[in-house]
Amino acid sequence: MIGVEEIIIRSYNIFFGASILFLIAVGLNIIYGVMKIVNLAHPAFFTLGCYAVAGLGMGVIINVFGSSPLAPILIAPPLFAALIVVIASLLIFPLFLFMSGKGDEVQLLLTYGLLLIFEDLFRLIWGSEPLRASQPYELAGSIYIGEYIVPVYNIYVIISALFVALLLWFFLFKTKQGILIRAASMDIEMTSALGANVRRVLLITVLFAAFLAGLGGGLYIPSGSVMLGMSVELLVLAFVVVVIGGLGSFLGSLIGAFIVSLLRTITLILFPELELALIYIVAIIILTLKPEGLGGGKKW
Amino acid sequence: MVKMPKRTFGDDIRVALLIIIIIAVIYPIIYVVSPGWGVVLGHGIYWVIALIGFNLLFSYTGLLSFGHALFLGIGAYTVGFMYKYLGITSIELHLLGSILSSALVAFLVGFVVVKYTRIFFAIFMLAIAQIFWSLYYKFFWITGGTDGIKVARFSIFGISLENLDFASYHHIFFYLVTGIALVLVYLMWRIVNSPFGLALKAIRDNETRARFIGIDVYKMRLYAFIISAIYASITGALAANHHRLVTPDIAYWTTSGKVVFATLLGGAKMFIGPVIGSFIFHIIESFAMRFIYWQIIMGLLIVIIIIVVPGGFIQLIKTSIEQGSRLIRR
Repeated sequence: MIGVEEIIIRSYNIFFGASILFLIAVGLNIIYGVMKIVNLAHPAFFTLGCYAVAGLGMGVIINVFGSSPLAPILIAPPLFAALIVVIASLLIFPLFLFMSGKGDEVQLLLTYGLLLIFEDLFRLIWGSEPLRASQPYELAGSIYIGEYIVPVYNIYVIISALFVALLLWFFLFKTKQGILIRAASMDIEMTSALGANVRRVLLITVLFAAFLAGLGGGLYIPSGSVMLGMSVELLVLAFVVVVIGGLGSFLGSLIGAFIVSLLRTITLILFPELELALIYIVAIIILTLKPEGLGGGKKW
Repeated sequence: MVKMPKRTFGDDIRVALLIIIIIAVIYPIIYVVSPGWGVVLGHGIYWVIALIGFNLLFSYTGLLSFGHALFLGIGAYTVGFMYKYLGITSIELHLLGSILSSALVAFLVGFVVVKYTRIFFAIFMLAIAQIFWSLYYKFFWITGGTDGIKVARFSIFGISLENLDFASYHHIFFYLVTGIALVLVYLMWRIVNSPFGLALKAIRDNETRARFIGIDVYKMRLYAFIISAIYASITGALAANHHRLVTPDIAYWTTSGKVVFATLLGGAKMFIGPVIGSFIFHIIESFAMRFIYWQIIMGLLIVIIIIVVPGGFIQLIKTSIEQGSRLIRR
C-alpha cells in the first residue's frame, strides 16, 4: 500500500521536476512565440548555468559571503548563473537576428550547430567529469516526513520557481515591455508599424529566455550534478513539455512541465528502462488528440 | 511534355559514380603510401550510402531528421545480434537482416512520425533515436552495454576470411563496399527520378497542391522514410563489419549530427552533394580527430556553411567555375 507520506514525498519530487522543466520550457516557448524559432540550443543555456555555478561561481560565492548566513548562498548562485548565460546569449544574438524569418531548416541547423558548439565548449572548459556544487543543498539541511528525508533546498527551488512564474506573469501581462513582447508574438510587422522598436523587443526576448534558463540551471545544480550530454537529454524532455502544452503557450509550459514530471516519476517507479519511450508515447497521443496542445491553443 | 531544366554536373549520376570509381582506382596507391588514409577512404565510401539516404528525406522530401543514428544503430546491432546469438558471419545475410529489421522499425516509427513535418519531425526523430540509444545502453545483458558486441571477420559467398592477412582482408572489404555503394547510388538516382521521386519533390515544394493533384502525401513520405532508413542501416551494418565492434556510440545523437553535417558539407541541394560530402567529411574528421574538441569545429562549420554557402562544397565549386569562366571570357 502507498501511504500518505509516500504520496507527499512523490508529489514533492514531481513539483521539483516540474519547476526545473518549466524554467527551461518557458524560455523555449517565449523565443518561439516571438521569433518563430525553435531554439535547439536553449537547453544548453540551462547547462551553461549549471556549469557556471559548479565550475566557477560557487567557490567565489562561498569565499565572498562565507557560509554562515544562508540567504546569500541560496540566492547568489542562480543570479550568477543567469548573468553568465545572459552574457553568452548576448554574444550569439546576431545569429538569432539572422535566423528570424528564414526557413525552418536554416533555424534548425543553425541552432543545432550552436548546440554542438556549446556541448564541446563545456568539455573544453570544464572537462568530461560530472560536476557538483552541493554546498547550499547541504547547508540547507533536511526535514523528516515520516521515515522519508526531504531536503529543504528542493522546497526552496519549488518556491523560487513559483515566484519566477508569478513575476513572469506580471512582466508579460502588466508591464509595457511584456505587452510589446506579446504584441510582437502576435504580429511582428504590425508591432513594428505601430512604432515599437522590434529589434529591441527581439533582444529582450532572447535575453529574457536565456535569463530564465540560466536561473533554472543555477537553482538546479546544488541538488544534482551537471555532465556532458545533458543539454540533449533536456532538449528531448523540454520538447515534450512544449508539445504537450502547445508551442508558444505560457500556460502550456506550466501544464506540460507538470505532466512530464508526473509521468517521469511514475515511469521511473514502474518501468525505469522505458522512461523516455513512455513519455514520448503519451506526447504523441496528446498531439494526435489535441494538436494545439493542452494550453488550449491560446497564445499566452 | 514538360521541358526539364538543363542538368548541371551536380545533378548527374555519371559524376557521382565517377567520383566513387576514381576513389576506388586511387585507393591501392593511397593504401601503399599510408594504410591509415586507405581506411579513411573506406569509411568515406560506405558512409555515402547513409548520407544519400538521409538526403532523400531532407532534400527531396523536405523532412529534416536529427535521428538518423537510429537506423545506423539498427543496422549495426542487427549484425551484432546475428553474430552474437546466431553465429552468422555471412555479410550477405548481415545486409539482408539489416534491411529487413530497419524496414520494420522504419515502418513502425514512420507510421507515426511522418504525420509531422518540420520541427516536430526533426525532434521526434532525435527523441526516438535517443530512446533506442538508451535501450542499447540499459539492457546491457543483451547488448553488452558500453562494452558493445564484438563481431568476427565476415565471410562472403560462404568463404571465410578469418585466416587472411589484415591488408587483403581490408582490400576485399573496400571493394565490396565500393560495389555496394555504386549499386545503391545508381538505385537512388533511379528513385529520385522516378514518378515517386517527382511526387516527393512536389510534396516538398507545395504539400497542398500535391494533395490536390491526387498524391497520397502520407504514403509517399512513409515510403521515402523507409527507403532512407534502409540506406542508413546498410551503412550501419557495414560499419559494424568494419570496426568489428558494435557499441551504443553509433546510435548516439552525435552520429546523427555527423550525418546532417556531412550532407550539408557536400551540398544537400544536389544529387552528388552527399557523395562528395562523405569524403570531405572523413578527410576533415581524420585531421580534426587529433584535436579532441572536434565537435566545436563541426558546429562552427555548420553555422558558417548555413550563413555563407548554404549549397555546401558543390556550390563553392560551381560559383568558382562560373567566376573563372567569366574571367576567361573577359
